[in-house]
Amino acid sequence: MDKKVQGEFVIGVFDDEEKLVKAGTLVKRDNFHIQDFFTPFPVHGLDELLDIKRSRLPFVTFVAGGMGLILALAFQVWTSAVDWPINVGGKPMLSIPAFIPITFELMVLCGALTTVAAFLFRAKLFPGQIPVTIDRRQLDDQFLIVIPSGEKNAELEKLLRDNGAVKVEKQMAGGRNE
Amino acid sequence: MKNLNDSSYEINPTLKQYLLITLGVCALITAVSYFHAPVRFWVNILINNFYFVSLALSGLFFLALQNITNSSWMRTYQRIPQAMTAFLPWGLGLMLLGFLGHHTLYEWTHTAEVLKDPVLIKKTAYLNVTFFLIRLVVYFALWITASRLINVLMNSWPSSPKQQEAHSGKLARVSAITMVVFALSFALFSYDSLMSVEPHWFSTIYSVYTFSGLFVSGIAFITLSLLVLRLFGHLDGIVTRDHFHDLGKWMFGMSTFWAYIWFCQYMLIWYSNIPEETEYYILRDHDNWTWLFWSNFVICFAVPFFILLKRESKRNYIALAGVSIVLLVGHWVDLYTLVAPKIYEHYKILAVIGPYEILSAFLFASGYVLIFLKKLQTRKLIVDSDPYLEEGSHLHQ
Repeated sequence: MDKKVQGEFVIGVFDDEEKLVKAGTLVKRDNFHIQDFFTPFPVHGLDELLDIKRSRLPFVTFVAGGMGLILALAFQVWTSAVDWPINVGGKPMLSIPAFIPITFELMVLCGALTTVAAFLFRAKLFPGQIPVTIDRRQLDDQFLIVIPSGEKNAELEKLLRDNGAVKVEKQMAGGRNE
Repeated sequence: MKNLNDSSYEINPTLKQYLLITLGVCALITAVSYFHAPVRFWVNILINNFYFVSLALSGLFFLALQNITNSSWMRTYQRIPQAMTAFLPWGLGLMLLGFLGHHTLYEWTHTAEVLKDPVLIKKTAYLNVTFFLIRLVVYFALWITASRLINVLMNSWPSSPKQQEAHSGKLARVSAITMVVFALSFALFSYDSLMSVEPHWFSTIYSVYTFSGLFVSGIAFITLSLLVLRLFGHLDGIVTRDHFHDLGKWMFGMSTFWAYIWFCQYMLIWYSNIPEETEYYILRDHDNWTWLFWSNFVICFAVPFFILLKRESKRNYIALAGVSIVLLVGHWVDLYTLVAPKIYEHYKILAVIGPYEILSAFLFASGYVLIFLKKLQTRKLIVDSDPYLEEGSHLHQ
């Protein structure tokens, strides 16, 4: 959960990912807002339940790749045709085919490195970052659903328990940093 | 999974009629071209033979590749690449038939000229009619055996898990051997039938180039036929939008791979600037070949690249169908620019894509589709006993 998230949350703990997806579907059907899921491994179907918007990362890659392409091409044209023209094998100074391999490589390099950096930055994955852990077993064998607590808590807890939650508890935002 | 029992395919009689009519009309026009323009006739036959044999081989290659990696998503539509290989025996017959025009197509079959030529005389150990025909038959024998073997293995699974594991291993082993055999034989096949059209010129990357064309047009054909099957309600709930997304990625990646290889060959020849190598590109960048040569690069690379770059278009059926058709047409034009320039230069014919070219392509295409559909209806579209089928139908991005 994000640092900015405030308030109390209901947490349903499951021991099976299929039960989690089923319970999540029912919770969403009953118009509860699902804050987040915590699972030890990626589970299909959770993204749809969370209404996560499409990542803008591909756009970052595209722009960075384009920048790399222009940069590489401009630099090569400048060095070998403008600033210090060198005659190689009698070819024209401005020989685009000869510049293509380096242009391609720099495009890939800029695109890839920028994408990784942008991802780490947006996901706040850097040294010293304290990960949010609600329950230690979310890293092992248990699957958590996190829903903001509200007036219909009793109904929500019953729904979770009826659908296979092994434990339902309340916790304040921020989690226990164990 | 839905519709497990409702998954057999039958050729629509009207469709079959249309295909047969197309076949008949195009055969007639192509026969006329034999008398009216024999050089164009033989060139068209060679291009179409190579194109459709490549398409059949792409099915074999695709199956072998997916079996080695033990992938399950392909199990949902495995009958399509399987049916694509059904053309191979016909391909052998047509290649042999097309070889009747060898005096028009291949300079190295003219003994008198070869004897006078210091370069060609040294190549006679490899480039002679007998050895050429022996090689041709051997390639096809290998391909037909491999495709039969893989198809049989893929369509008959044992029932106990232990046997299934052994079966899966056997499939992977056969596929791995097929892959090696395919790589060598297809390389030689493209040197033999296409590159020897210009016997003085050679390029070692040539077979990689023809292979990249084979792969991308194969994926385009799989995508297009799968889209049509889904349009008519087949494989509902088994092949999903995610499968098409993955096929779209293949098309995107492989058309870029083709452009990469195209550029590799072009740049090395341009850079080293040796007369006996550059003649290949000088020929294609002159007269009225120029527009065809460069537009071919745009059609086969830039168009699919920019259309399929976005995720949304890889999941859009209309965009996928459009790109598949563009690629299938584009790679026919690609073969045309590979084969025709040298022969047409000799016979003083200019670049031409007229009714003879188009209708001869339609003749082969309708025949290929008929053979493909006939094979497709021989059994159900999915193999119920396949242990990977269930997993394959649950594909997620």
